[in-house]
Amino acid sequence: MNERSDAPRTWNPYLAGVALGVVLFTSFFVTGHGLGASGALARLVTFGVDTAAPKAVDTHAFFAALGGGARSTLSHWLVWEVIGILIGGFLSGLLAGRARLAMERGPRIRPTTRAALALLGGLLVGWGTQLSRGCTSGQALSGGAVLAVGSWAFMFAVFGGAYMVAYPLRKLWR
Amino acid sequence: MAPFDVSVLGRLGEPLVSVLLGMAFGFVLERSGFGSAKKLTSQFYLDDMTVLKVMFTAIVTAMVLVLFATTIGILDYDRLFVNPTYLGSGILGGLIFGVGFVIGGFCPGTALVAAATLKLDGLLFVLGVLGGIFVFGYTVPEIDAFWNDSGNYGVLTLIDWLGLPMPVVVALAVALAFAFFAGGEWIEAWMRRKRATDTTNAPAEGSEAATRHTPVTRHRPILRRLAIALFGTTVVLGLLWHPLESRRKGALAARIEESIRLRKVQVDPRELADLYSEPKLALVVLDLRSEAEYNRFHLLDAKHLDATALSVATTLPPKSIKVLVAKDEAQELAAYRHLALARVENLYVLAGGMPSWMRLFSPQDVETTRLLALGDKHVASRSPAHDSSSRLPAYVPTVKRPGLGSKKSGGGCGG
Repeated sequence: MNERSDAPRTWNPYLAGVALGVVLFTSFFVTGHGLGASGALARLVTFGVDTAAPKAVDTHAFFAALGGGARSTLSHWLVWEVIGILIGGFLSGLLAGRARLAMERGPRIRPTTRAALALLGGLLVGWGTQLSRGCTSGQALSGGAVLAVGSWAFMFAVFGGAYMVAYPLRKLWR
Repeated sequence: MAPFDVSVLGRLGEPLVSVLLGMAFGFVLERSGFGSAKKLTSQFYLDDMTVLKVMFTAIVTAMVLVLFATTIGILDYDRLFVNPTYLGSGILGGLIFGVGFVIGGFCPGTALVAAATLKLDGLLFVLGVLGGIFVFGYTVPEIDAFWNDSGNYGVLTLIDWLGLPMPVVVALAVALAFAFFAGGEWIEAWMRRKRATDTTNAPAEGSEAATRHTPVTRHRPILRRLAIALFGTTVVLGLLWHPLESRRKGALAARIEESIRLRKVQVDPRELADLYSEPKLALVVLDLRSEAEYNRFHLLDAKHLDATALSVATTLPPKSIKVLVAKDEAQELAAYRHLALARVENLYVLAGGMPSWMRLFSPQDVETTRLLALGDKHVASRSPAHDSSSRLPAYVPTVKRPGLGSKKSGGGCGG
């Protein structure tokens, strides 16, 4: 087994895709909705705002929509599901020997640069998910599977945006 | 009949189901290698198309399974959460997302998996996402109109948009996915050849190229079996689609009866009057009474709809609010059932039929108007002024505005 490569412990992409598709279908079949990720993070942000400055939740329509009700912001299937993602991801990583403290980066950039870029990229993606009402999980994957026109448009826009800047930013990763 | 109401499992039912689904989701994402920013961004540098392969295989697999369950009548497609389409904000958000993906190396779900496997960059990315959402919460009032109104089509599926039956749309999506797979395999092979040439021509670069090399195996046999399975299933389901129509209609009919029983489709006359005065609303009042009755008196802008030619109503714009009006509610509901089965959306009936409107709004006896050929010139055909309706007791509103939010709450990850 090749020490440097994790490839033997990753699934064939097509078989992994079938497995993911079965999970996604099970979600639709049992609960009526697909999978998600960024929605749970939006609830976490709202919970934070609600704790630090309760008034801000009531005066900002965006936060009010997520946390204005009597029910706790965090008492939502998306939040439970993300807890599951963390458990499942950790278990798989542990079994494959990939759950190791590390920071991945391109060969040309320093760890501090990578840290700053991860934050910056997260910031853009976080803002983008809310503008497009979903991320690659809740919008592209879930909406794509049930044939939502907007989800397919979003998916192609993600690939478009990424390919547009990949070459100019090639020094980050190559 | 799926989908189910998980709340029947008790207070812990939904959390339990959600955690289990999340665990499976996280496990598969990690097993795909998606806990690694390098692996993910390789998609955009063309040497490893795993992201494309996993994503499109997952989408078409789930899609074919949804088609299967729908065709044989064990799943109600109309009750699934379908993300509403906001074309403008969705595309701009996607472009910004794509840029952030390359800079940060993740998307939210994969960053969570990376963080769970102790990758610091994953954790930082998640913190960045939280920051981005926080900023959005404060900046959204500035772009509210764009966020909500740019290309807002409400719930719009490829089935509606293309006007094709579901199995045909699924077959097209599967074909597109396999075209991408073929392209992806071709690009990977081309990059491998290119790398090999680079290595021979420039030995100094060789060692670096070797460390960058991602092992890629050939997937031809799996791809072929997958194509046979997905296309085969779709074709078989396509052949069964029409023969099993009655099974699906049975489920739809049951849901229609439920809405009627719960009075979710009956619009109070006072609500209809308020709808008239809503400027942005596309309201279509369809009068089902005889031509003679219609000519003598009808509501303002009402269109006459012959009860024997109901199918005309299926050509009306889907987002317009359609209210059926007749001499009584039973006649309205008969037409309602017929049109709702033909999947006419945003369809309602006037509660109590025309008499309930006249009782509220006609200053004269209804009988006197019957003698005159007034069309809509009678005072009672106008929507009453605001002051008159405000004197009336409140009603329970029935009509849902299309395109403002989803038909079913709480789906997706948009929040």
